[in-house]
Amino acid sequence: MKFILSLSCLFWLLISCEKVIDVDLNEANPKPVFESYIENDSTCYVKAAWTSSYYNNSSSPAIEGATMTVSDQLGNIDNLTHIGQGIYRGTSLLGVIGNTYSLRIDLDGTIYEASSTMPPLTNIDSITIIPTNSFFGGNGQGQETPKFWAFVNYTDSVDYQNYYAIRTSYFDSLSNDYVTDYRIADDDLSDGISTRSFTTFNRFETGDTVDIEFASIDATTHLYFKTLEDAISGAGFQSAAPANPTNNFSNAALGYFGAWSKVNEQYIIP
Amino acid sequence: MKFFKLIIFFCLFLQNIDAQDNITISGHVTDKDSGEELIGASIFIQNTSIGVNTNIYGFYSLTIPKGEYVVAVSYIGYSTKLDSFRLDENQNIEFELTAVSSEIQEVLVKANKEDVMLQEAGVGTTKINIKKLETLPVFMGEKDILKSIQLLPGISAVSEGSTGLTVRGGTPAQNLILLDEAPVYNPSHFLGFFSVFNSDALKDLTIYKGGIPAQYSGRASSVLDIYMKNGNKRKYSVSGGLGLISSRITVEGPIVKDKGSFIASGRFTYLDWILKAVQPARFGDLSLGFWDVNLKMNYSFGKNDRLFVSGYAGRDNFIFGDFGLRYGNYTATLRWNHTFNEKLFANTSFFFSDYYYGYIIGRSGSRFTIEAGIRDFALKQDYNYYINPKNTMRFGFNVTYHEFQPSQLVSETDNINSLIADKKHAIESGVYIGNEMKITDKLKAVYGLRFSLFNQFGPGDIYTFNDNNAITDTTSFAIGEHIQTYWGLEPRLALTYEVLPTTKLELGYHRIHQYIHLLTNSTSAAPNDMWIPSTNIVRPQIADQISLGIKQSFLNDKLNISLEGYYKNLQNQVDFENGADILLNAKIESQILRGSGRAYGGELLIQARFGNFNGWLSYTLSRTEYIFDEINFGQPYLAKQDRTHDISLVGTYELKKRWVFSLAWIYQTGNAVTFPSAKYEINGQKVSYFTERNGYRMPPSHRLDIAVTFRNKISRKFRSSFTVGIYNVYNQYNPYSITFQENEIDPSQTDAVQLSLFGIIPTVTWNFSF
Repeated sequence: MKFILSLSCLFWLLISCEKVIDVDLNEANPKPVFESYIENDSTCYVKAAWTSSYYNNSSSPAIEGATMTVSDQLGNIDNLTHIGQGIYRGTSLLGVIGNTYSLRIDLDGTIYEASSTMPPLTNIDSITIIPTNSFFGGNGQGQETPKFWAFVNYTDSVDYQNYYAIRTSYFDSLSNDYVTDYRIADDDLSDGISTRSFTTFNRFETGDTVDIEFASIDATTHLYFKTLEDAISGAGFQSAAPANPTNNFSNAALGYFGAWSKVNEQYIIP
Repeated sequence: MKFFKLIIFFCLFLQNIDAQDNITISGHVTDKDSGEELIGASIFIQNTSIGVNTNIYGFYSLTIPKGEYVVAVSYIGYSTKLDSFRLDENQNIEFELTAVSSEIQEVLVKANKEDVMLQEAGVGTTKINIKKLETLPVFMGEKDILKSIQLLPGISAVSEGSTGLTVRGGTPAQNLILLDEAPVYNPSHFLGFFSVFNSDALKDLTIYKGGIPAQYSGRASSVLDIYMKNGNKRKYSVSGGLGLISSRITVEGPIVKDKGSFIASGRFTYLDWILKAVQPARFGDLSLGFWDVNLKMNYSFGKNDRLFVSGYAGRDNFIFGDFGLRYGNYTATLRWNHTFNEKLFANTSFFFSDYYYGYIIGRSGSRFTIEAGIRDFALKQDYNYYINPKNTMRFGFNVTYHEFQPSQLVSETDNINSLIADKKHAIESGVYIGNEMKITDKLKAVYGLRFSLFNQFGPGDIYTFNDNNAITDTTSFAIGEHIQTYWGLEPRLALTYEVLPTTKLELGYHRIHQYIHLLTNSTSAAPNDMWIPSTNIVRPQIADQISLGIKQSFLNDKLNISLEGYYKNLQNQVDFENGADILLNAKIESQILRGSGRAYGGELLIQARFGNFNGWLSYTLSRTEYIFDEINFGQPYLAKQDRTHDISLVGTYELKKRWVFSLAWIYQTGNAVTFPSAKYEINGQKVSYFTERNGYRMPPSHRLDIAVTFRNKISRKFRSSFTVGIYNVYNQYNPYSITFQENEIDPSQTDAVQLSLFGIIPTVTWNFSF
């Protein structure tokens, strides 16, 4: 018995090892990055910055001298004002469901444009939890306190191709800080039915507070967040070669411009 | 019309068929102990340049003028047999050879120098002696043909420990892997780490990298033609082995002595049983492993007819609680050999191949399954016509019905809809004619032409897409209704010119159409890779390859050096748009990109055989590039499987016939990968900015594996051997992946973290037979 035990331990121990290595990376010319959105009943928000050297640990340099305007298909125009550190805000135009918004940025004579349509709002029906040990097997032994996954339940509308972004914030005791996780969903497998999505893969305990923001996004914003996942890890692994996310900006600017409608809910794990 | 003209052209070549007093000898070459037919054994008339090789059924036919001759019959690993005959009339001669069991033999097989004239035009072709693989060091103690051939020039693994092969810059999906003529769609177990081929049940393996003959078609890069043993015709025997990962048992014996035989071989794993026994609480719900079974039977009905039935079945299981993955292949082949006369041999095959995978998620009642697969039914006929000693003609046809199951979701739960994907249907067919011709005593040619045809037909819906990948039009086709046809002509050529008895020059060319494509997100053979047909949107891949080689032998054949260069042009290669889902995507075709590729390189092989030492050094220098309009700004970029340098050093040494020491050392340039060149932030997360596709390299890999095999006395009836091996002797951490992560202590810093899968691994395997 002891022999078999040591044999299997040997097997697992010998497999896989991680170490930090030196990888020399090239230096790309700085490119502008616009993280921009307009939400229902809110003005347009743009955060503008340059890309920076990969290993450079300071935050990216802000873009401060750009001229930005947002307009809708009805001809309403709003000039954004720079409020500091590369953050620009609209002053008058509030997001309305169904409208199409165009963002125009003039940066030293180069024009960057993007547009997005605000989809109808989908409400959160309820939030439910599932004990983690009932999902991927194991009978829960050795787990001191029960852990849960939180799911958001909603009813997809049948007449529309729906895309969702789920933003979940919570206090993480491990890092002793607030953490925000992002997930996206679509209705390929849930068109017109009541369904549910993971909020985050984080496992919660009884008493944890979870802030959930559930947004309906359009197809281009969905594709952007989907392809963003590959670019975040930036790995040369078994997966297909990573690429820059596909976005809606002209002139090869990075980032995205999204118009979305959202609802919020705070939930305490029972 | 063109095709018939070409047949006439072929016949003109054959007009020197003489009417003088010729006779034909024909028959089989078999192993004396087991009655097993020997594939590619040479039969030749001493002191002449007349000779022939046995075909895959051990059959030969040779036409010579009447007279008295000494016939030499030889085969690798067997003692050469010399017999004198007085030949006045057509005669059936059956030859039996005795295996040289105790002597060390080459693992890598090349013709002995005396046989050079008889050797098939060998550009880009290698035959493997499967029996001898046992002594090479192997991964986890599991002997594995797909691993061992990675030690040959031009062939390497797509990643460490993987059975996924890249042959001359090709992808694993461009290798045609045949088991008893049936294609095996996913040749791997255990997520790619072990091959589905149980070496105990195999008899012969031939690899074609260049100058691929006309009887093979359908994959752009290479052919691995694998044949199962027929089973011992004379006596019953049992063999098997116990290993760290799996155990094997094989039973074989006569059905009717000298008339028919059978072989049954099985493998299974038990890692999960061990884990369950050790920690039932933690691993109670775990099922992890694979099994496979090979079965074959054959029976001779008289001298001229023989029937073979063979089959393979294998499954992998990964089940952990409510999550499960099952996948595997089934193949079955029914074959009928018929000898019309001394000169005309025919084989008719019917085969079936099936690949399936399924993820099963959730508990019963709220379960859903994601599954996909491919299924083939095929009929194939091949003729060997031994016209005269100078010409052997091969012709035949094949028709394969493919049934593709795109990935679909079957749901039992209310909050997920089922997504049923309609099957796709196609027929892939071909006719070919080829000739092996001795133009002069020094010049030999194998040439041929293949016409291949691919028809996609209904039932099914065909979509038309606009630039935004939205469906603009749907056309429905009825059952059997024609949707799309592709066809192509595929010329093949292999020339061998003997400059000197010790020097050969070789030239090869082939064109191959690949009508089915593998959609994959990984470079290795992943179980959820999915096969799709060529359609109105996805066009067939076309590969043209030219190769040129020189072979030189020294020191009376103790040392052989071969140098070969190749250039391959690839059309209609397949990649995806950014963010495309392979799984559960009815619109996947709109997201497939079409590009081209090219691969070129040089391969050096130095083989040595001195006394009890046998080994080789192989070095490959190569480059593989793709061009896609939508990728890398339309500029050429390196394929992930591009390997600048690839070195293998292999040696075996036999001591007193009971000990075998072996080692293998490899060195490879790392995969071409995409790394970031800048960073920015989105949602507070660090995002990589990429400037070019596959512009970086992983660090190179290298490692040394060794093994020692100890056998008991050969005279005993019960034979057994122990193999002790060490994988990665100097514990080199070779890169499997590199990820950029936050430093754990200082999150503002980013570290490049290299994941290595396998450090040093000692293994023990026990093999027996009686």
